[in-house]
Amino acid sequence: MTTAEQHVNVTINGKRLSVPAERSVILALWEAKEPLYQEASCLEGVCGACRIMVRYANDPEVRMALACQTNVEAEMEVLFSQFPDQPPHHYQLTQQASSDNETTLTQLNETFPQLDHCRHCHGCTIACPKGIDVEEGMRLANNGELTAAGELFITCVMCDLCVSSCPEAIAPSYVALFARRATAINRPLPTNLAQRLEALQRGELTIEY
Amino acid sequence: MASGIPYQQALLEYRVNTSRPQRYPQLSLSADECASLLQAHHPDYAADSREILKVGINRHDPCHPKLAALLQSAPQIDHRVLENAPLTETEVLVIGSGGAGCSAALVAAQHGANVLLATKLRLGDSNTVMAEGGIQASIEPGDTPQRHFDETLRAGHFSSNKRLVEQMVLDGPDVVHWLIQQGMQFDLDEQGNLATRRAGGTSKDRVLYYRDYTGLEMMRVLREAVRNTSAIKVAEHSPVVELLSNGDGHCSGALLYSIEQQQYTVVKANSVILASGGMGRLHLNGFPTSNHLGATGDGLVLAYRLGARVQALDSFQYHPTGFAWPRTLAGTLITEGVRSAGTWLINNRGERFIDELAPRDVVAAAIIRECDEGRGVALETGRQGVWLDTPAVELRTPGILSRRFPKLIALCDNAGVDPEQSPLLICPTLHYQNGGVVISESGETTVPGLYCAGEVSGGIHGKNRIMGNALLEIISFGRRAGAAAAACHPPGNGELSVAHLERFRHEIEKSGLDTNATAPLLFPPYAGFERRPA
Repeated sequence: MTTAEQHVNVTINGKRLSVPAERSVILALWEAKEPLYQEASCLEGVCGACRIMVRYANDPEVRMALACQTNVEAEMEVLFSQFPDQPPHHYQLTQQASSDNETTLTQLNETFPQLDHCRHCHGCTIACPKGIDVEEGMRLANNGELTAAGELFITCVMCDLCVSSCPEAIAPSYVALFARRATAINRPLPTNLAQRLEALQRGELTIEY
Repeated sequence: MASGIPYQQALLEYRVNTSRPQRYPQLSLSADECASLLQAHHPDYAADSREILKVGINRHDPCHPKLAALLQSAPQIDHRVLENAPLTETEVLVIGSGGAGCSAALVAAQHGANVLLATKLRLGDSNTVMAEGGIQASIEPGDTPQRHFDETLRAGHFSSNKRLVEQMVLDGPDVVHWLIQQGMQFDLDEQGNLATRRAGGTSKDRVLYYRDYTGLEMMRVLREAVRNTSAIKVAEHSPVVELLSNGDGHCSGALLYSIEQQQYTVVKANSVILASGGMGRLHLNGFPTSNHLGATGDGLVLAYRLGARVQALDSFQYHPTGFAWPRTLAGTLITEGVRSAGTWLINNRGERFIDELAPRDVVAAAIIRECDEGRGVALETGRQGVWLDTPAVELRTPGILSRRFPKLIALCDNAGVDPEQSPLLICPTLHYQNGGVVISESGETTVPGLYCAGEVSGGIHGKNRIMGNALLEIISFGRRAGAAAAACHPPGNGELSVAHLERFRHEIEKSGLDTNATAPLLFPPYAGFERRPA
């Protein structure tokens, strides 16, 4: 390094720190010799461990974000958050004729009885660090359109920020996961896979060496 | 090392084009050319990448020095902890909650066992969740398990355990079927068939995928399946700090440390499945890593102390395409799928220099050669890289990046880079431990009662793994280990013991090694973790 690196002042978990710029919140913390190990894992935005609340300078809004995907900026405030576990739900999916069938929909409503309580407050959608239209997904799921609901959540990392922001305890990320799993399980087995499984069962494919 | 062109200058000089000149007449190399390229430029082949182990069952075998230091470190506890820590019992103890650990736990539970699944971070925090390229299974009409077998062996330089590979490739289609039954989605083509793409070092489209989120999709489904299985209890933020034996040499439990309570717990079990993953966070040879924060080789260290034989601990995968820049993404992986989609690698002169779908070790060595010889792009951090020519693939096939690689686009977006307009500067990143604990077809180690599955185990990938075989391996062997461990019962009713630790400590002393160095290392030093002494 030939020139001294630029530093910015930030407040993280109530502590005032001078950290090098051009870093994610996590890398900046580590370079400032601050411990962080429970609220971090993948460091590439797919595990949801590093949930934070962020307030930028001159902006009253508190935003939800992932610390590994958020760069430090001068005078930002960051609070790492431990969120309560998701409300318990238990279900076992069994294969049905299609994903949008009566049995699966009844099971969805029994597993997530709050699903039809949505107040349309947008809290879940605003909280999502992946830009998913969570509320629309819940509308679709409640409407029995499970495949369409699941499609909206392709990029969901189960950070559960939507869960913690729902005043009706709907657990949106888990509703969407139910919808996605039901879609996968209830789809006809792809032909190329089915044929290969049959050939293996008939003992036609062996390995020689 | 010659210095390349500075990053800013190279970026200004970059021009997108639908064709690129070649630096060499042939981009595909013969076996001999590959061998000499690896010898000259792959980190595994450097003189300081290898030393001989002095302690333990593999003494006289080669090992990377940084890993050797941990394998030959003294234990941090002694017998007193067994007297002081509370005891809990289970039938099967699974350590690690990535794809291998979760599938092992699910199958053990299905076979009637009560399972405790202990994990250092949270349930599912693992390398699996980041393994986005896909999973191999020969399902296309023109492909066969035999071809999958042959290509796995060839890419691994013919040093794999053939029996394990045979079993894995024959498991492939059923593994995919099982994953679908758990609720995992895969990309389909217009006819509703599973879509496939080609991995480097292979000749057929055999990688099944879900956008560039395959591992994420797998992990969120397996995690939910585990949470919905009442026979599985999950202990999060609870790393294992020692394996325990029952005095007859049978692995019969482990000592866990709760990070939240700062307390130790002794777990007594009929059998233990170690699925603790790899060691990228050791940053071998100073490389950045694509691995998650907990990948510190701790499971390997504990198994070695208990007497489990290991193999090929001098062989590691440096994945060719890790981000070199921007800084916030350094080390983060760009999936091989991007090269599989036709994206080229070019040096600072705009020349292609290797078949982008050659085996990973060969591509990585070729990138390092370009940098060593002054044809790289230099960063102010002192590191060098070459370009992944994303604008050119976008120009040839408009929309391909956003359609096929939403995760890459999202990562770049957050970091303020536009891969459709600017090439990505990449360099190899420490990705995978090719070797590991020796296992049998059912995941048994040389220690009775101790099973291994996933990256911590060795023998399948030889000296180089091909894309998609890791996700296949973790489920194939995770399920097998789960079934075998559920049927395993220890002889007698022996007391739990740490006698193996005393023996190991004694061996270290005798060999003249430093007894002040201790392990396991649970987090990389920069994470600032400190454990309460036992």
